[in-house]
Amino acid sequence: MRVECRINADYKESYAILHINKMTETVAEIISMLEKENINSLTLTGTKDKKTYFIKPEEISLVRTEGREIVCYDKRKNRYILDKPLYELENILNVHFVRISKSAIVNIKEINHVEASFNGTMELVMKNGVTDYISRSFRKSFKERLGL
Amino acid sequence: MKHIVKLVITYIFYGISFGCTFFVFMCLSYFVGGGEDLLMPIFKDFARQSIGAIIVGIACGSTSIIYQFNRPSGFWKIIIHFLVGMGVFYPVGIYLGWIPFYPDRIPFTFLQFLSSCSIFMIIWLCFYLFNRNEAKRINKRLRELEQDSTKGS
Repeated sequence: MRVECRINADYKESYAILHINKMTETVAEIISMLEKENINSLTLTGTKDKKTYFIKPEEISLVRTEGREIVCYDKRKNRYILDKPLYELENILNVHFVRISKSAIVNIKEINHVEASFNGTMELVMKNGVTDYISRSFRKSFKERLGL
Repeated sequence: MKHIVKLVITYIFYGISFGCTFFVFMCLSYFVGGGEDLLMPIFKDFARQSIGAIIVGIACGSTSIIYQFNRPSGFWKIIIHFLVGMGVFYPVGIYLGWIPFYPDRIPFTFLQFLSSCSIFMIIWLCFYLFNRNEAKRINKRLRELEQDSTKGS
């Protein structure tokens, strides 16, 4: 696809117009990435020990449901309780995040390694030591996001 | 709830396909080993034999749905999967004549049970090795991505 980019400091707001003859998965992904461009600077709020903290998405390692709470772990394994549902966070968080199960989203950059566990599933170990499981139904999309 | 129903249906079909595939390979090995004569009893009783394979497929394959849930722990998941799988496979296998059964020959029956368990373990090991290989590929890709981002920054 031919790509034309006009850079002008006078533009008050960045926007993109795509001239396409059909919608493809790649184009949809690009649109999603562009739409999230401004959101990358967004900061979430989370509570810990009855105090509210601002958390940058790039600091987040993993977001998951624990009981009735939506919690996130940052790079230093600090645990914060978030007030947004998981599906909303999935839309807010940037392209480096991927869903690994119905109850967890992880930052790809913060994955240390995955290992086959003896119970037939795949365990994911984050750089901060937090572990979770890649559910079989999300394994395909997880691999696709990694480019496999 | 909708997700759970979809998951259960998917796993039931997964179990059925697992049972049918196993049945086909079993018939194929009979044919290779003993020709059509060995297959004849199965063909004469095809309906019951194929339904039996589907039931065993559901008991052994579909019950792996348990690994999709957070509870119970990994060890108990294996135990439940093993007990349900073997608890259905063994009686169905005896009833349909897949496994010869002589109640008066206890050591033979015991050895037979052990060999059935080892079949379960071999299938389970195959899945584990497949997952391990997949994990290696993912880890290799993660390292590549990390190196790319290091170069980029």
